[in-house]
Amino acid sequence: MQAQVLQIRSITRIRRSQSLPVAGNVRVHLGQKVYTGDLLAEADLSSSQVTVDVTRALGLSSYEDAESLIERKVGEKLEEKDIIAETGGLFSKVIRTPAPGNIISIQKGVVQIETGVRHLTLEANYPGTVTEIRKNQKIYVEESGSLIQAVWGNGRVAAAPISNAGESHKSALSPNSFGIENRGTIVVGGLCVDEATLNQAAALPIGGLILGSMPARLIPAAEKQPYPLILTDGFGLMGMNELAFRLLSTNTGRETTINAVRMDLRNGIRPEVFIPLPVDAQPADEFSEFMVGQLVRENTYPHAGEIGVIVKISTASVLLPSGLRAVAAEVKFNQEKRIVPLANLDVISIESEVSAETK
Amino acid sequence: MTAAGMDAVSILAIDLGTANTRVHLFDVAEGQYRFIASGISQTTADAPYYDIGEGIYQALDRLQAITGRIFLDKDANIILPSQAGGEGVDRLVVTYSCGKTLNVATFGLLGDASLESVNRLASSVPGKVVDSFGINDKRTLDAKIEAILAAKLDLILFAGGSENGASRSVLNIADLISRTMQVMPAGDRPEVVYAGNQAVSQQVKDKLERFTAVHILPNVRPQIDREEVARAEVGVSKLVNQMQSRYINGLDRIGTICNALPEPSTSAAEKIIRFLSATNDPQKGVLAFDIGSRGSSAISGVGGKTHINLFPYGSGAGLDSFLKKVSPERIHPWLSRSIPLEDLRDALYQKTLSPNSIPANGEALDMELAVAKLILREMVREMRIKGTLTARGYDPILVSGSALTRAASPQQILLTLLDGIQPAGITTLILDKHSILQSLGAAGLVQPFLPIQVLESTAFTNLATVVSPVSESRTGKEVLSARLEYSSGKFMDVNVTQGSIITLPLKPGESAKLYLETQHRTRIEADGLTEEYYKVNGGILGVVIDARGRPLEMPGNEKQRDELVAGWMTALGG
Repeated sequence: MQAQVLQIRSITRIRRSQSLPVAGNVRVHLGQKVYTGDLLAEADLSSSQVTVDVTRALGLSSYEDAESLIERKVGEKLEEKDIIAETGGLFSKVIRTPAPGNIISIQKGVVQIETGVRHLTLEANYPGTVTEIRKNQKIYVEESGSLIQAVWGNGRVAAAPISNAGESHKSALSPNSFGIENRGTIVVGGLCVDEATLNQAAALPIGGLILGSMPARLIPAAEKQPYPLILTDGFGLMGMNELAFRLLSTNTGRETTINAVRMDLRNGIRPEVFIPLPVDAQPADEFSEFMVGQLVRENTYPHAGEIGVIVKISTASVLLPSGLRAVAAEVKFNQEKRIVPLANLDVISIESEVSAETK
Repeated sequence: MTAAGMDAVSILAIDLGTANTRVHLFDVAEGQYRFIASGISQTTADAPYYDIGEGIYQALDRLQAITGRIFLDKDANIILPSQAGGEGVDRLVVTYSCGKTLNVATFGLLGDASLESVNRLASSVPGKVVDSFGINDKRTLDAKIEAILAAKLDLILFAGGSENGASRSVLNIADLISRTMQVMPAGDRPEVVYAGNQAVSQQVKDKLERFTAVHILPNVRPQIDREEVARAEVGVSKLVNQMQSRYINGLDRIGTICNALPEPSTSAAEKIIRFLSATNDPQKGVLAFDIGSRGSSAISGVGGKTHINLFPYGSGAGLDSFLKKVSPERIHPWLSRSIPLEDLRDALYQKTLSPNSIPANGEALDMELAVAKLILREMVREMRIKGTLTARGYDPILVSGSALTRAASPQQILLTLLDGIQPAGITTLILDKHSILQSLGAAGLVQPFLPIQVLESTAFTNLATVVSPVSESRTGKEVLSARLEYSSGKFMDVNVTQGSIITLPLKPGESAKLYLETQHRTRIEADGLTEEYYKVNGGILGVVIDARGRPLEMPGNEKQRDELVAGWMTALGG
């Protein structure tokens, strides 16, 4: 059975892409070094338009008559109150544009004007080197470093040094957990159980927050925060898995990128914490089969975040305590051995693969 | 007709779901087509594989292990047709519900004519109709254009005018679409299907083709009083396949070896419901619910006319969408044991992060079943609003979806269905445990007798025949007397009180006569009891009389609720 792979790696190489919705102006070149937040590309998109039915507005009987009175051409720029059509004569009837913009079509006496343009910018979510640019729309960046994949994010991105505010991977942050030393940093903590703590972090302000877990009732509050917030393990009071906490703690003070993107399993997108390091590394496999001896993390209530080792994998489906049958593995956790359906396990990709000496 | 009189061939049906890929084997046994076995694996259309091939291979590998038959050659290709040694299969069909949920807009003239027909055409598309535009739409031109732009469409379905009928209004709609296309970025423009008055099809094409691909299909309403959606459906299916091939890598590859065009699962299942509703009791409809991982569907049919209802929520990848409609607070009362609301909320949102996870303990299963009940309730509520349910009731009701059919006990499944659907009258609940309904619809295209013969077999599980009286009596008051007379002549009498649920034993495959006598202020069928007795079929839980009331609501007090549910489970033999 194929496994979901979760990377908690001290050294790996990442290749990440970002796209504009349309082709635009790319502001970087191949081989260029970029930092989180740098402008990669930009484009303009039509965002609003108005139509003016000249036939109706002038009370004409046919659109051919209307088109003969339209003084404008497709592509022409209209300023405030510019005339679109007029009948002429002593008591000339005049039709003016309801808003400034560009004429994008004139069809059957109807003039269509683009009145608003949305300027889109694409900013780097990761630091690294630009390795590919596709169709002036999609840009690939590669870099080596430590990577901690997570399960939930509030949609924001930032880069800042890491600081540690939690005593252990299971300790809860409180409003008093933050000090002046955390200002502008990406703070690591086990869990958070109240909105006041999230708000206090914003007031400081911090640069980002990496938590193991929080109650799901805090989702609306977390989504409102101005800083990126990531959960490595999910919803509940379980805190952070030890591996992620240890790796983050050993990187205190390092410049770190926190990409709290929404998880999209269809497209293989996960929220991530990335710490660039001056090494050359190989990328890790993104998929795996389940095997005995693998390090795995349970991903479901009430054991989400618990890490263990596969001792045995059943070849046929086994009876679970729920009464359901499923293909499962016997997993040795800290305190106990448990039968867990394979569907409830993520394989943790952890081993380092440094292929070259330090740069 | 027996298989001996037919071109007897084995058929392999592949169903590509969002979470699971199933392969079903149908073959002739004792002169009749039978469902033989199925293999199941995870669907690999999404990351990290991005190709359906691996999932199909794994599912076929399982099927080979189960049946001992060989379906794959040494290069892992499906052996088609079967060989002299018995390897392989003769026919292959594919259905799918993975891929992109397409955003569709429909355009027509009148709401009760071409717009209605084109909306019916849209129901065969695996997507959602985000907006509909008719000539009586009161929105301004700018508002319509804004609405189309905001909808981020993948596909426009456009009809209007009977043959050689209205043309000017049709061309006005084409102008509206054309104006909108002009302000869309080239890569974001939806493809257009035109299935209206063929006399102006070239003009429609001329107006739109410079912006996007335009597909001309037969008129869905060739005469004002005649609808012909089926011919256009074939073309739409082909187009949707092409579009989905961009999202489902490998679909076009497998499509080249299929004996019929790969088909969206719901439109394949609809064929079976249409057939059943045309041949069953004309007074009642046939209803099929499927709770999928990402999306769910309900197909209702009465007298051969069907409605496909698609819902953008499910029990796995679609749970996140469902929780936006129905909060954990609303799900909480439907648990069958006390679990703190905070835990329920955390567990459900955790499930959104691992949508393919399986309930490992009793609490997790209980939560999954509570969600399934609320999904069914929400589907029924939305169908009532849309007017796609008949007041006459449904018999049978078919259900599929692993959240429903994999529950640990039949009692759990039954209570989930009854609490969710809350059927009225007399109905048979049938489980499609192997999720073969859509495969039957697809297989019927290459072997028309197969669906009928498999439907008559034991491939589907009769869960129970359920009698649901509706009464204004207070709890504990007698509402119904029933006698179940077995074919042996023996009988069983029961008096049923308001608020109770009871079961009368009647094994699957057996039938009996059910005599019913309602008490004051109690009714069963929409028209009352018109028959002296009702012939009922047996099921795993026999004949169930559910007098718990409609609409069924759960007490707020958790202790009372736990006792109540435990009592119901005991009454059902659980």
